Amino acid sequence: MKRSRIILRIDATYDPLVQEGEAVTKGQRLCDAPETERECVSPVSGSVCSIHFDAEHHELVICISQKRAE
Amino acid sequence: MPDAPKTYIAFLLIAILLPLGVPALSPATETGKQDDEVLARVDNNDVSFYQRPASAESYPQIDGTNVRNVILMIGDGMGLGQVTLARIKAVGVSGKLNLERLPVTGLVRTHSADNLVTDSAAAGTALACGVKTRNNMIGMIRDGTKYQSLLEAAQAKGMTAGLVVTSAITHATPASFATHVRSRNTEDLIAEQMVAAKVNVLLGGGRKFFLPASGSNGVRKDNRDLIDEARQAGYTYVQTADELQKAQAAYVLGLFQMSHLTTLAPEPPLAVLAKKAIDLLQGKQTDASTPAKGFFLMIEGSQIDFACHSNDALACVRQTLLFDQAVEAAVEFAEKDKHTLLVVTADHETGGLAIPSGNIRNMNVKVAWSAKGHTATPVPVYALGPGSQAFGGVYDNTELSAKVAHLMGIETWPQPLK
Repeated sequence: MKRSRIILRIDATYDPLVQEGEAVTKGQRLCDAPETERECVSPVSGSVCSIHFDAEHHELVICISQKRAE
Repeated sequence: MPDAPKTYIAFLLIAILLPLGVPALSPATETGKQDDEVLARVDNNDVSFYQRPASAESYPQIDGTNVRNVILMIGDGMGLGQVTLARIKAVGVSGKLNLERLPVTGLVRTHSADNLVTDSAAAGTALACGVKTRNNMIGMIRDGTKYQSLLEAAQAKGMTAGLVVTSAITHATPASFATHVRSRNTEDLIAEQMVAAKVNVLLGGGRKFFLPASGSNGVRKDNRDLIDEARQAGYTYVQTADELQKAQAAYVLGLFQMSHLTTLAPEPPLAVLAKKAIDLLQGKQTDASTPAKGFFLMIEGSQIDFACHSNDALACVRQTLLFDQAVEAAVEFAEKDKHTLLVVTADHETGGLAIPSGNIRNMNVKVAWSAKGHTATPVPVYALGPGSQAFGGVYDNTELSAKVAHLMGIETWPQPLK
């Protein structure tokens, strides 16, 4: 199995609906941000490897680790 | 915090994951500290800069209703949890921060027009203009109608005005007081409107939004140099603490970082910025040939929010204490002046900070975060000065704006921009 990481950015106003270590499925909603619904959906299945705050852009940076068959 | 030692980062992780074991702060008893001493002691996550209030008694109320000056202080993301944690760590469970010593207290609801959880743009607009708007929008309601801010109303009355923050000066909260844009993210446009607004004192970060992309570090795609344009419009431009202390002009633009402030030396701490802004704005009132018309000053502790988004309890304490140090400076002025209304509040709470348990003997506390985003819990308001009794109770953030406007003698509020 190979692992790749997907980075998503969401407006930090809205609390993420997932936590670090949590499994996510493709299409799962990651936050309740009304203005950015498309950006708030996981594009892949995997697990949340980290959630960090980016003060520069007032965003939460969500890292999703994706398992892929080689 | 890229410069922080590895040991500190490790300690931070432990502090977040385990019950917080921050050593109680040593009580500071010195008095009469000079600004440069304060400045030199602000470093990393050290909070020894904080001078414990001499008393836990409320500040004496200032009677009367004649409001000449207004100082509105906003702790971004500062809920009761943040205040309580900072108090316990800095002055003990029975002590009081300076902001807690203000004689009038209340609670403010913060929801925006479209969401139970507000962002700083909608909350800033509610406080500045007295209207609810959508998250992300600044100085206007949902249909795009622009509303006058308290700062703009003050200017219209001939008062001087200032904005002092530890974020970029183009960030959502300061922007709400001097600009009108559909998106808080258009910081280049906000910078342009900020300079055009002729606010007397602008102190904070965000230099890159004023500089052309063709130069080093600037991001302006229109390649305008707003710092140069500000100079030509009469501003004195400063970017260091020394330059700021020497500045004596009617218009001062201080941009101390490309982006947000570091809140570390050699930058001037928020209290020093606040004192200087008051001096500058007050200085313009001392011309004996014209009657004083007063000033409006908004001071924001911007980075309480940053710390709480990161669920970083130590940084939250430090940022709240830096803000409280600025409150002390504002109180000092208000007590002498007798005609200054001081209102301290927050735009929203960040992080859902709670203190589920702690040791009352050594003040070690467990900190629990329920969110990485903002929350809908009401935020505290503290007030001092003529008319400050109006700020007791539980009310909406737009009402806070209306109360300030009323005390400034503005008859109709909110007011669409003409």
